[in-house]
Formats: sequence, structure tokens, C-alpha cells
Amino acid sequence: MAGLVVAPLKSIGLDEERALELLRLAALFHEIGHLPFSHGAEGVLPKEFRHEHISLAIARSLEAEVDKWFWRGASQYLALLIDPKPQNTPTEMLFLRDILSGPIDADRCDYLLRDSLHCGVAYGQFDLNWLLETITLVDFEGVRIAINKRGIHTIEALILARYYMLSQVYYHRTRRLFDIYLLQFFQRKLSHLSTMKQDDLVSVVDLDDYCVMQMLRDALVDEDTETRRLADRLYHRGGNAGKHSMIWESGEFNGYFKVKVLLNKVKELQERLPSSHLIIDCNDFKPIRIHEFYRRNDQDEGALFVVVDRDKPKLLTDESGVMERLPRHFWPVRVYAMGGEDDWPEIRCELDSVEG
Amino acid sequence: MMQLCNEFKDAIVALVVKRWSDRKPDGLGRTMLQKLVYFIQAKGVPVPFEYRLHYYGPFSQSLSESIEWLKVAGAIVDRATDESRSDFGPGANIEKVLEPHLGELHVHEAKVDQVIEAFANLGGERMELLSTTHFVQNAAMVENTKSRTIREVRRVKGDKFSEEEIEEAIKYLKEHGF
Repeated sequence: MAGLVVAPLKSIGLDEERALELLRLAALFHEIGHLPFSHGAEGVLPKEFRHEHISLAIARSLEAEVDKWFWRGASQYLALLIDPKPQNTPTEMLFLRDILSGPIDADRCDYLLRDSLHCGVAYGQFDLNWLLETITLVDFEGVRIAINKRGIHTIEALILARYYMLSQVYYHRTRRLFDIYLLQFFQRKLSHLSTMKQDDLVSVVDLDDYCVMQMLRDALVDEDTETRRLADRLYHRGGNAGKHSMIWESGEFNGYFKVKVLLNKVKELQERLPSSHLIIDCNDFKPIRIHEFYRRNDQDEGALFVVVDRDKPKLLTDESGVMERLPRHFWPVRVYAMGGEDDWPEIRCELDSVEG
Repeated sequence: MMQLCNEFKDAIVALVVKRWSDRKPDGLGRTMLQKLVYFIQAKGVPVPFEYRLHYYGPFSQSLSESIEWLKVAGAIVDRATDESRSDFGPGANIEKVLEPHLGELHVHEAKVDQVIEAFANLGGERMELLSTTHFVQNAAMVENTKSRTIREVRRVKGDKFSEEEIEEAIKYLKEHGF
């Protein structure tokens, strides 16, 4: 079976050793384009760019070095493998791309356990050793990564770990509020990022967390009141400026229509009750994905993930009751306020009635 | 709420639904819409949708999100009665999505029409094959020969399509300027 993976790589000039080297290199470059504080302030970039575009720009800027350190042409493979558009990666390399960023990928296996450890939470745990023990290859409508039947529960645990980490850590109400402040700060102090063109992307390497921390310190005495206030909140975790409180939160599993109705309501409340300085957070109008597995009779297409049961390929979502029922995404809506406390009960009551 | 689908990419999706509806009263399901926009992008219309190979061929999550917001905004409607299917048509607010981009849409509408013309009468399985074949041909590191395309389509789709069917798909794509 491994030959079925190696043969297409060989057909484009990659032997096993180089493929492995390339995969490691791509794994490093994959994240290199993050702005300071990672995803937090990515919203400051023009809509057409994300950190993956910056990663690619950096990789392209280092073409000569990559070719020198590895082998002639390595940079070209690297650029194709980390291209933000999967359709630009040759299908011969899709297997490598799936390891980097597929439904069950090395990135998730790495960051869940690492973040769980460093955040000191029990969420995010799953049995990585057992996953590696039971992961396999299958030729089912093409050669793909699959799991032996004995590993179904570790896949479930990985997906649930991701959902819990998203829900409890990455989208924690306080963290999200500080992301919003950070974005507002960037929009004021690093406004040039919002008009970046493709050719400028690589310049963000000059910005790092330390640089932004220094900017925050300097901005504590900024002439502009709002910039000063944001810096105080961010640098002193609230500081004298104080911070917003989350005064209302919806259920986790909203659909687009529900989010739209809630957004309309908050907009109306913002206009009617300005002293509460309402902020709404709905993840930049996008649902938060838990998994993307194909399920029979789902309207949305999905990624095929196969369980191998006594040499027979079966759909993961047929074999796992958990994966069959687990929603594909969750989408909480949160409302934060600062000031106008007397209005908060009314705001909560109106949002409750809209949520139904 | 129109601000949630006010970009050019949303307008292109709405235009596809409108033009399809002008041509055929029904039959524009979710999968067909995904494949049509895939080919429109392949024709050079500058929309930023990222496509991965999914169960039925190229699929874009960001397009799926755009479709949902267009539905919420009333720009398109899903008339299907069976929840497991979809049948998109223009909604009452479609012009509000199209209007801000009329100039740019005008530049690209011929390509939209060409794609609809090329694929409107094809079934789901044929679209799966054609879009997967194009996906394979789209990013080739080595010479994009017929034998490479057949080999790669067979590799990503297994035995689902025969060599003859893939050859026919290559020919069809070439005839239609892909």
C-alpha cells in the first residue's frame, strides 16, 4: 500500500527521503506567517489574505536559501505544498498535504496536546500513541489515510478534544474580548496592514510579539484617548480603562438565520442604548468547524474518512455513533457591555426572547 | 444584513443562480452550484474560493458559507421540500447583492454564461468526473499528459470511473476551453 503513496511522489521527482524532508519543512513554514499573537489580530489583514498567504510569501522570498540548504527545486515543491489554495497543489502531493492539513492532521495532533499542557487544562487530551498505532492507508476511491477499527475511539477523542479546546480555550469569552481589543489596537497603530498588497506580505516578519508589547507600552501615553485606553486594557489586562463584561451568550449551536436575527437585534440595541457600549462577537460571521467528515444523506459534501474493519473499508460516520451525530460546527454569539449597567437586564431579556 | 454578503464573490454566486434560473426553472442543487463556481473560477473569474477534493469532487467550504449568507439575505432561495436536497433560485433581494458590482459582473458575465451553457444539462456523476479531472489537470508539476490525468483521476477516485470515461472527460473539457 505504501507503494501507492510513494509512486506518485516519485513521478514528480520526490523520493521517500526528500518527501519526508519536504513534509517537515512544510510543517515549519505552514505557521511561519502568523501575525504577532497568532490568529488574534489576523482580521486586520485585507480580506483576501490570511496567515497562510504570508507563509507562502515568506517561502517564496527564501527560494534561493531553501534550494541551497536542501536541494535544487525544493522551494518549488514547498510553495506548492503550502499554497493556501488546495487546488494549486498537484494531486500527486495531496497525500502530503493531508498530513499537513487534512481532517486528521499532524497540526492538530501537535497543537491540541501542546496547548492543553501549556494552558493547564484537561481538555485537548487524546491518545496520540494509539492514533499512530492504528492509523493506516486504504485504497478506497483512491489511496487515503484511514484508521483501523480499533482506533475509532481515539479519532472520536481527537475531534472531541478539538471541539472542547475551541469551545473552552480558543473561543473563551475573555480571550475573544482581548482579541477584539487587539484587533482594534492594530487597526489604529498598524493600519498599513489593512491595505497590504501581495508584494508587501513578507514585510510582516518585522513584527513580533515583543515589538507589539513595546508598542502597547508606548501607547499607554498616546495622544489619542481611544488608543491609550486600548493599550491600557491590553497591557494591564483591563487596567484603569476597565474592560467589557460578557452580559449575554447564546447557545452553542446556532444556524445562519439565528445569527442574523441576533445580529440585527444587537445592532438595534447598540443604537437604542449607547451607554452600554455593546460589542458583539460572532467569530467574524463564520461558524466554527468541529469536523468535516462526509456523512450519508448530508446536504453538504464532506471529506471521506475510512475505517478499516477486517480489511473492509467503511465510512467513519457509519461506524462511529459519535461522529455520525456530532454537529459539523458550533457558533456561539456573545454580547459584551461596559457602562449603562441599569440597561443590562433589559438587554438580556430582549436577546433571550429573540433566541427563543 | 446585506453587508454579510456584499462582496464580489457573493455577487458572482448570486449571478450564477440568476442565470441558471433564466435558463432552467429548477435543478440547481448545492453540489451543482459548487461545481459551476469551480469552473467559473477556472475560467479566470477572480473569486477567492478554496477548493479541496471531497467525496463528490472539488468542494469549497468558503463557498458553502457564502451560499448560506445569500440565503439568509433573501438573495437566493432554496425551494427544495426534501431537507436532504437543495434547489436554488433567485430570491426577492438578489438585485441588492448584484447591484453594487454591476460593472465588474458585466466584465465576467460571458464566462458565467459559457460555464452554465457547457454544464447545465449534465448529471451529478458527470460533473464529479469533469471537475475532478480538471482539478487533476489544474496543478501539474510534470507534463500534463493524457496518461498522467487518467492515472491521477484513477488514483483519487479509484475504480469509480473507467479510462474511457476519463478520456471522454478530458476531451469535453478541452472542447469547452478548459
